[in-house]
Amino acid sequence: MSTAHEVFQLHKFQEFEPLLRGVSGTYLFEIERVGYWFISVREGAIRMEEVRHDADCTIGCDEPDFIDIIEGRRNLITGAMQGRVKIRGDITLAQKFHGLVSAMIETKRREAA
Amino acid sequence: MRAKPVSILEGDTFVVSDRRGDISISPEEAEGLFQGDTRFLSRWVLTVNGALPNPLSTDDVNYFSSQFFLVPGTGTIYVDSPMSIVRQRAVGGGFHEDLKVTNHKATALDLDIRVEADADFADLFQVKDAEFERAGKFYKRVDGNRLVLGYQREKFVRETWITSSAPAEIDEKGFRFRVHLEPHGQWHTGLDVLAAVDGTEGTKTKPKYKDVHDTPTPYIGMSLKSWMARAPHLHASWTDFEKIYERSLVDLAALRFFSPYTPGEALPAAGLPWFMALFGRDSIFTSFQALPFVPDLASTTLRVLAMRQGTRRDDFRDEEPGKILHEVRLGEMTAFEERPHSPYFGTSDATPLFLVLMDEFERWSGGKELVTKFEAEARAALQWIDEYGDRDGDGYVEYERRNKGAGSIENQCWKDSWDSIVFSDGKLAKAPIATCEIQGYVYDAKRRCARLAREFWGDSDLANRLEKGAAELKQKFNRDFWIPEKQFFALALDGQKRKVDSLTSNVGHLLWSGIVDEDKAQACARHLVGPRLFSGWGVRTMADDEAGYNPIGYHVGTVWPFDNSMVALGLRNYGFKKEAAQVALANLEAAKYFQYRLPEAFAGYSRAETDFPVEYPTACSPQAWSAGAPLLFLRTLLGLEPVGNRLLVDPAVPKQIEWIELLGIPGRWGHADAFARGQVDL
Repeated sequence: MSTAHEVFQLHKFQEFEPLLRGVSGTYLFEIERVGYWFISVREGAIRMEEVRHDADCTIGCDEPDFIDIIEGRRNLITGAMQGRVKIRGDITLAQKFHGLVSAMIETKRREAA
Repeated sequence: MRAKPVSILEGDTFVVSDRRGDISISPEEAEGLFQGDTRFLSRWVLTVNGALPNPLSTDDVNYFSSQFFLVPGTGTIYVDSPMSIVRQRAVGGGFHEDLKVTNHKATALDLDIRVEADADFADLFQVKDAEFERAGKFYKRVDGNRLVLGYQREKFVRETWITSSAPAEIDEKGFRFRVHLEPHGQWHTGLDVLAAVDGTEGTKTKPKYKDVHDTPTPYIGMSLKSWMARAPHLHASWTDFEKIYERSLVDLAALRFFSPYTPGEALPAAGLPWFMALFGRDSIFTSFQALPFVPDLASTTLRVLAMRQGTRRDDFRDEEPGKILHEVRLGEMTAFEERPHSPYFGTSDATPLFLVLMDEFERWSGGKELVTKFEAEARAALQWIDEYGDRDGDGYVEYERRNKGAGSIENQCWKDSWDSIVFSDGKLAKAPIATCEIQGYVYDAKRRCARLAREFWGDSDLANRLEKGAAELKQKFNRDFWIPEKQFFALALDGQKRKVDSLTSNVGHLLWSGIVDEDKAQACARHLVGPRLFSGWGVRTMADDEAGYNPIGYHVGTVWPFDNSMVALGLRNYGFKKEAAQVALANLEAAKYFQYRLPEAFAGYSRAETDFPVEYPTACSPQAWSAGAPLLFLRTLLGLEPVGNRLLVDPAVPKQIEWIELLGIPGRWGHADAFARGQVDL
């Protein structure tokens, strides 16, 4: 099973992700007992740092749930409804999160190819 | 027969109790304190000296509060009760209840007062289907002066916290008060019942309004008083009309709720008790009906639906890119994906209707910003219509659900019960199904978006394409759906492209959309007010001589006021002013028999058979688009239409209503007034 570090290291985002066109904002991922990742999206352009910054939308969960969400086994919205994921800030950005996930999965697919 | 329950609500929190204010589980009524599709209280029973008091009188003071006047039973009508009990309840994030007991005797009384409490934390789906098997664990504890009722399944936790202002003995079953009342003395306690842990961030510690007002008042963005004051004022010779109008506005206020996507701005939930949730179709229709009266609902509805627009193909949720959602639920079954409502996209009409509302909003309000801001979403919706809605490339939007599991919807149109799309001989139509009214909505959406593309998006190519597509659709539709020998449009085309040949109210929606050729409109109008469809109280959903007809069938014979309001506007749009007035007046007259509140639906029995409209057994009330119906009838009777920056008033009011004046109609013109005299002979 992957770790959060591996996931973020693996997904070297391309500079522009069409799935995130129209999305602008910042995300902070708080992975319990693992670390923080800050992702900035500006009209589809993605930048990621392993650092804790204030963000428009903060998504917090434990590492296994995070991996499940990233790898598409768990839905972010129902994860939040179940109490597994804490979402703070701009919920609209959280809603767009699966665009980000799709971008990550697409990157992974390309790299595997 | 069980007495009607008492319901009060605020946002997505509501309390349903019996006439004495008690809550208990019964197969007949869904009683309880509900929030976020979860029942936070399933038992709330007051006893005095071990006996249930008897109700004297019960009032819904307003939509968010009620009071119950009770007396203990004396066993005989010849002995007056020695005391009275008053329960005053206000809902908001839970509820607050003031319990007062007054001794009317000249001697002291010693009382043993108990309030029993329990919570099953059932998902509203479980309540509706009477399914009570639970995957989690219940717990109860007394924390100081607080009774905590809880439920946990993995990390999903829901808790109800109950406190009393008066000292009490508290155990896991509730509160006990040993009260000594002096002659003519009074005792009081304030009980706070909180949906304290409800799945949102943080924990509530008190009702929303506590410490804000002396009298509990809901903490809602706009108070009822200012909501009413901002709406146009109606005066009419027929004072019942004024009462119906006021009731509609109050019910729309009651059904407002807040989405986390648009903090501080309200949109309409669909209806009490089963549909206190966001529904794409219902919110759009209600907002459309209410546009000339309370336009803010439309802008919030459009924004929330745009933000939650589908972005991917998800079979479980029937989601596709560009599709507008059907329903959002927040309960346990949705959280654990035992139901697909997070959100569920099982509707084929909400997407074109979203576009229709967007254009209508701009026409009335002049709100260019919203139309510009959501251009991408509007384009995605248009793309959904052609790419995903039209599944087989035949030019029509048809539906067939991909998720066939629990909670999914077979018929993804407004008549969404399983037996609604039926041939004249009673056979059910098989999917994929293209219902007629959805093609009308698509036609209308394309025409309207052509205007938006030309005037706001700077894309005349798109405008031309949309206009061409709409014209082609109209021509094709009038050929493929028309049944010449019956002189009406088929309800639908089934999976084999056969015409589903029952006569239904859907033809009225076609008139509203404008897709009907002029030479076919007269026949449609004749049917709509003819004896097969028109009951005397309104237009039935299905003609009374069809094999599928049932006067108390949900979508196959009942009269739906919302449906009728669209039918009346459709008739009016094609110049059938008299027929429009006839439909409007019949519904408004029916409202008198429902305490001025039109229900979701009522039975389709002929007016000649019944002197009053007969209730449909499980109709929601209030229901948002039924509350909106009188508003749209009023618009239709007055002939209100925005023309550029002016409001056109072209009344066609039946003689039964001598005169109407509607003052302060908001819109891009500021505020305008409309006056009318009843001149139409029915």
